[in-house]
Amino acid sequence: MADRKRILVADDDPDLVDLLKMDLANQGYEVLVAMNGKEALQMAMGEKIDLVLLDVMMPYIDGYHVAYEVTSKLGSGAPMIMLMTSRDTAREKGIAIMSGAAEVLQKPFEMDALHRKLAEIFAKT
Amino acid sequence: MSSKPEFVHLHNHSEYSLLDGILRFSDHDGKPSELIKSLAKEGARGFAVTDHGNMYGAMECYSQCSKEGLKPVIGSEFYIVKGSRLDRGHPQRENRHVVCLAKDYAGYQNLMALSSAGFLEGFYYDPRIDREILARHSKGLVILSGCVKSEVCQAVLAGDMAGAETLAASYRDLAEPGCFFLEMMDHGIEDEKRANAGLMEIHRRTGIPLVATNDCHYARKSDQEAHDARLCISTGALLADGERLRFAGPEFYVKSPAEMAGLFESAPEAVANTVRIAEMCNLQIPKGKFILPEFAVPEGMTQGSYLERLAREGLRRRFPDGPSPAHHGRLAYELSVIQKKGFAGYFLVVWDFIAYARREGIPVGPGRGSGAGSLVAYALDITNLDPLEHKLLFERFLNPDRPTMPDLDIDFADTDRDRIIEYVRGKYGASNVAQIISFSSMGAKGVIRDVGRVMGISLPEVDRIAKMVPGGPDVTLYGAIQKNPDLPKAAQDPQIKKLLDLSLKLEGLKRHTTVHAAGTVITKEPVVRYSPLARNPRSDVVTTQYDGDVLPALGLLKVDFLGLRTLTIIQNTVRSIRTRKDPAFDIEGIPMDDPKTYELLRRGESLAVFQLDSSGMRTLLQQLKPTVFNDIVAILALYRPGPMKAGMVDMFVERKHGRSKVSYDHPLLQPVLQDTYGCIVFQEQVMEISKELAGFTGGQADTLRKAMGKKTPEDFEKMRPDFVSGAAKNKIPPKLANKIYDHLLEFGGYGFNRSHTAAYGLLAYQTAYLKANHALEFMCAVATSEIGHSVVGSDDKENKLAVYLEDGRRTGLKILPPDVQRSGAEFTIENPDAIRFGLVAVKNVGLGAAEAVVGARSQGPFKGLADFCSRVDLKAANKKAIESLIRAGALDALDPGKPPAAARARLLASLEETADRQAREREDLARGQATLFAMDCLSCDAGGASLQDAAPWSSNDVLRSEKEMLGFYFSGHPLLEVRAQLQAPRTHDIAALSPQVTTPVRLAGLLAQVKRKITKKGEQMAEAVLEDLTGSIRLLVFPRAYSGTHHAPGIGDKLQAGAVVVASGRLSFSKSGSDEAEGGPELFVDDVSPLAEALPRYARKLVIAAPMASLDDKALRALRDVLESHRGRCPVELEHRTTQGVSVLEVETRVLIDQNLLESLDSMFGEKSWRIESAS
Repeated sequence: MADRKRILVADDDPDLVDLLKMDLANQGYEVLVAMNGKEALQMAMGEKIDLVLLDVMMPYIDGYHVAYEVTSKLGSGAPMIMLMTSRDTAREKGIAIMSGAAEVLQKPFEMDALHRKLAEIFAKT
Repeated sequence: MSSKPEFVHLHNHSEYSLLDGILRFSDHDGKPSELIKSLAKEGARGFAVTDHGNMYGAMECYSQCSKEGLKPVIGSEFYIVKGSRLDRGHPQRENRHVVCLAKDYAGYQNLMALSSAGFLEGFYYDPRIDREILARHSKGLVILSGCVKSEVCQAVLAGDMAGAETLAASYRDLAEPGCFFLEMMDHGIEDEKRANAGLMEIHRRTGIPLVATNDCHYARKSDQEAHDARLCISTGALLADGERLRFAGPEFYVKSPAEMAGLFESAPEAVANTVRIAEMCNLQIPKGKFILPEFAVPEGMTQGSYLERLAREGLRRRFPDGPSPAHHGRLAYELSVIQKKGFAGYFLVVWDFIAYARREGIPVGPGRGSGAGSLVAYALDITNLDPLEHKLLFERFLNPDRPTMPDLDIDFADTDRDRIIEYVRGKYGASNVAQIISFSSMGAKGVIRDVGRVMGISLPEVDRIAKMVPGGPDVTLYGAIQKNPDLPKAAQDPQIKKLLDLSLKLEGLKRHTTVHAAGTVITKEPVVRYSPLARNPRSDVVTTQYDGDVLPALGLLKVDFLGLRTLTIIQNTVRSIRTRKDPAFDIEGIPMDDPKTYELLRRGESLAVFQLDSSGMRTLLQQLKPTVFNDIVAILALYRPGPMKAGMVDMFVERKHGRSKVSYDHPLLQPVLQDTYGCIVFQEQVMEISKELAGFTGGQADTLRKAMGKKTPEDFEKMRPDFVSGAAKNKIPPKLANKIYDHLLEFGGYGFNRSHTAAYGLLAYQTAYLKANHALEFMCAVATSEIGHSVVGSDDKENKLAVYLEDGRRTGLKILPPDVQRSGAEFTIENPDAIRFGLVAVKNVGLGAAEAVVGARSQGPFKGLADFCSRVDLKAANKKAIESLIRAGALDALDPGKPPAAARARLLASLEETADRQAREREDLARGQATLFAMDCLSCDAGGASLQDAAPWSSNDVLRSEKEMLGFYFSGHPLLEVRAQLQAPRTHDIAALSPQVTTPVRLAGLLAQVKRKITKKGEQMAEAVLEDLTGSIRLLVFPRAYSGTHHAPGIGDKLQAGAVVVASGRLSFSKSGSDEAEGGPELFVDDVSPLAEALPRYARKLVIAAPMASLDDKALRALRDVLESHRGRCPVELEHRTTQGVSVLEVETRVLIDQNLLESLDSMFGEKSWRIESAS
C-alpha cells in the first residue's frame, strides 16, 4: 500500500467514534471524524477521502441523504460509503443502496468483521 | 293608354344563376315568393327568367308565376362564342352574352335544344352556344342582344361601329322577323352609357327595335349586401377584399315601371317594347298528361290486358295453394285503379327491367318507399312482401283521388345498378333515358358558416352561433331565432346581427348542382323534348336540368334505381353458405321467428346489420328486446328524431314490456293498433283508423295522411268535420271522435311509411339472421363490401371496415392477416373458421395488382421474394403496391422463420433491387435472350436466404405500417405499450367524457387523423381525431392555438398523425349533429404536447413495484444507476413487496420520466413493474 487510505468516521455517538478512530488508526488508516450529518457532508465533499463510515441516524442530515448527496454529486470521484445501521431489514438495505452506499454494516458489529470488509473493499480498488 | 307607365322585366337572374343570383320564385314553404306575389298584385304583364347559360329555374318560374296569374316568360341568357361552340380555344373572358325568350312551345323546344347543346357540345368553363346553332333553333324565340357583355355592345365599346352594325344585322337575320331587339341597360355604369348611344345609332340606321332591361339579380335595393355576400360565397372571396369580383353599384334590383321609365326617358319605345315582347310570349307547357315510354305488348293485347294477365299469373305463382279471396279482391281493385289512371304502361316498364335483373341474377330489394303496398307489384315480383300479411295499403302508394304519378323506387345490388340503367338505355333508346339533376341549397347552419366566413368572423365565433341552430332537415333560421333566445341575445352584437340578417336573406338559396343518386327519367321521345339537359362537370354524367320534383309534374316517368350494398352482401353471404354448408340455402325461405336472430338483436350485437348498425339503434334494441318481426319494423319507424322527442319510443318500450297499460279509446281501434301496443307508429294506421272509424275512402285517408305529414294545421282541420260526422255513423259520439282526432294529430304526424319500413325491416331481419347463424360468411361479405367504402388511411373518415373486423374478433371470429400465399383479392373464408384479409383491402393495392398476385400463385406457392417478383406481373402490381403489401405483412411468409419486424425490414430493403432484376430478366426473356440469371431463378430463391439484412423495425413501426396499410392496428395497438404513461397526464378517459364535465380536460392518446385547413382569412387551423384505449374524440385546433400568439407558441407542428400526445382544452357538446359528423363531444384544443414532454409536467410520482425476489443488491445498484442517469424532478418510490406486506422506500433520486427510463424499468423488472401517479 503506497498511500494510506483516508477514512471519515461519521457518528453522533462519541464513544463509538473514539473506538473507531483508535482502532482504524492502528490498522494503518488515516482517520477523520465528523459528529453529525452536516459536518460529514461538508468533509466528504471537501476533503480527499477514500471511504466514509457513515451512521444512518445523525442530527441535521441523516446518513442516507449524506450518502446520496456525496455519491450523486461527486459521481465516480466520490468516496465509497459504508452505512452503519442498527435496523436490519431488507428495506433499510434497499434504501442504503439506493442512496449510493456500497456496503451496509449491521450494528453492533465485531471489529474483525469491519477490518475484513474494509480490506475487501480496498483490495478491489 | 294608361297613365301609369308599364314595364316588364325580361332579364332576370334567379337563384339558379348559381354564381350571383338571389331572386327567388318560391318562398321557404314552396309557395310563390314575395316578389312574384307583389309583381302580380301590381299588375305586371309578365316576368322573365334568364339565368346564366341554364334553364334550371324555368319550370319553377313557370308554375309559381302561373299560380299568381303573372305571365311567365321563359328564357335564358346564353354564353355565346365568336367562332364555333365546339372550339375550346377562346379564353373564358371572351364569352359573350345573348338573351333568348320563348314565344311559344316551339320556341321553348328550341330553347331547351340550345341550352342542352351549350352543356353537351359547347361546355368550356361555361355552357356556350354559337350563332350557327342559334340560327338553326331561332324559331319561336325572341332574341335580345344582351347586356354590356354582348357581342354588339363590345363592338360598340371597341369603337367598331361598322362591325357592331354588321353583328346586329346578322342577329336580326338569324332571328324570326321582328324578333331581334337591341337591349339597353342603365345601371349608372359609364360603359353602358356609351353602349346605349351606339345601340340608338344602330337602331336609327337599321330600324332594329330597342328594348330596355335591368340586369336584375336581387329583388330589392336593400338586398344588395346579401347579393354581394352570395357573390363572395361562390367565388371564395371576403367581403372586405379589395380586389374581387363585385357588381358596380346597387342598381341590379327589380325596379318599378316608373323607375325604368325614368331611366329610359330618352327611349320610351324601348320601355314600351318590353310589354310588346311579353305579349309576343305566350308559352303553354302541357301538364297533367302522363307521357310514358312506348312498351310493346304481345299482339292482340292492350297494355291493360297484358298487365292483368301478368298479375294474375304472378299471384298464382306467389300462392301455389291458391290465393285467398281477399287477395283476389285486392288484385282486382288495384288493377281497376291502375287501368283507370292509365298506369298500366308504368307497371310494365318497371316489371320488365326487374324481370331482366332477376334473369341476370342481379339482386333486387324487397321494395322501398310506398311500392310495397301494392299487391300487383308483389304479383309482378317488383316487391317481395305480401301487403295483406303486413297490413300495407295500396292507397298509400297510389291515391285514386290524386292525379300524381306513382313512385316505384327500386333497390338493386350496388355493384350491378349500372347494368340495369344500361339495359333500360338499350331498350328505350339512349337519348330517351337520362339521370336527374339535384340542387343543394344553403341550410340554416351552413349559411351562417358561409356568411360568417365571407364577413371574416373568427371560426370559433361562427361555430358558436351556428351551434345555436338545431340540426335537421326542416330547420329554418327564422324558426330557430324564434325558438332559441340565445340567437337574438347574440344579435345584440352588431356584427352578429349583420351575420344573421344576411344569412336570413340567403338561407335556402340553391348553391350547387349534383347528380341525383338514383333518379332516372325514361321518356317516349328524346328527353330533350321535355327537359333541357346538362352535363355535370365533376362526374361527366348527362342529367336533366329539371329536378326530380319537376319531371313527374311534367308527366314523365321517373324511376329511382338505387344501389343498395346490403343486397350485394346478402348475395355474397348466400353464395358462400351454399358452397360451404348448404347448397339449398335460400334467403327467402329463412324462418321469421329464429330464436338466435332475436337473441342477437336483444343483446344489441347488430353492428353491420342493415339499418340497425348505429350505436343508438343498438342501445334501443337492448331496451326494446324485440321478439317478433313487427318489433323490428316498429323500431325502424320509431328511431327518428320526431318520435323520439315525442317520447314515443319510451311509450312503445314500456308498453311492450307490460310496464305501462295498453288501452284503446274505442274498440274499433284495437285491431288497427294492437300489434304496436296501442301506439300509432305508422301512417297506414292513421289511414286505417280514418277508414274504420269514420268511413273514409282510401283516397281520403291518404289525403289525411299527407296533411298530417306536412304538419299544416289548416289542411288537417279541414278534414275534421268529415271525420267526426263519419264517426257518428259508427255511433261514436262527437266528443270521443274529436278526442281520437286530436290523438291522431298528436302522434300521427310522426307516423312513418309502413310499406317502406316493412320492406327494409325484412332486409334488417335477413342480415341479422345471417349474422346470428352464419357469422363467418356474413362478416366476410360485409368486410369485402367495405373495401373501397372504408377508405384506408383516410384523414377524415371513420373506418367502418376496422370497426366490423374488431367486432368480429371480439365475438370470436378469427381474422387472419393478408398473406400473398393465401389471400384472395377480396376477403375469403379460410377453413375451418377464419376470415382472411383480401389483398385489395391493402392500401395502394388495386384489383389489377391483387389479381396479378393471385393469378401468379395459381402455379404454386411463391418460394421467396425473387420468385414472387419474377412470377407476378410487375406492371399490374407495381413496386408501390408490393411495398404496401410488405408493410401490411402480406409477404412475411416469403422470409420464413423471421419475426415480422425483421422480415418486413429485410423484404423492404431487398425489394428495389429484386424487382429491378426480375424486370430486366423479363425484358431479356421477351427479347428472346434467356440469360443464365433467368435459368437460375427457379433455384436461386429458397426462402429468405437471398434477402438483404436490415435492422428490424421497432414494434411501433410495425404497428404504424399496419395501421397505414390496413386501416387499423392488426397485431397490437401502439397505445398498449404506453398505456401506463397515458395515465399520469390525462384527467379523463375519452369514454368518460360527458356534458357534465365542464372544467378543462386533458386527454392522452394517439392522433389518428390530422386534417389541416386554411380558413378564408388565410389562417391555419386543424381538425384531428384523438384515440385512447377507451374511445375517440374530434379535436378542433383554431387558428389562435394553431399558430400561437405572442404569449404562446403555436402547436400546429405538434399535430402529427400517429403521434402520442396529451391534448388539453375545453369540451363542446354540439346539441345535434346535422352537419357535424356526430353529436358527440369535441375538444377545443388549447395545447398539445407529445407524451414525452407532457409526462414530466404532470407526473407527481414514479412508483416502482418490484417483487422482493428480484431486488438483490445488484439489481438495486443497477436501478440506482438507471435512475441516476434520468435525473429530474419527479420523486421516486420503491414499493417493496414481501410476504409480510408492502413497505415503501422513498428513494433520494428524482427523475425525469421518459420512454427510455420506462423501457429500462420494463427490462429490469418486467412490464407493469411501475406506475406513474399524477396530482389530479
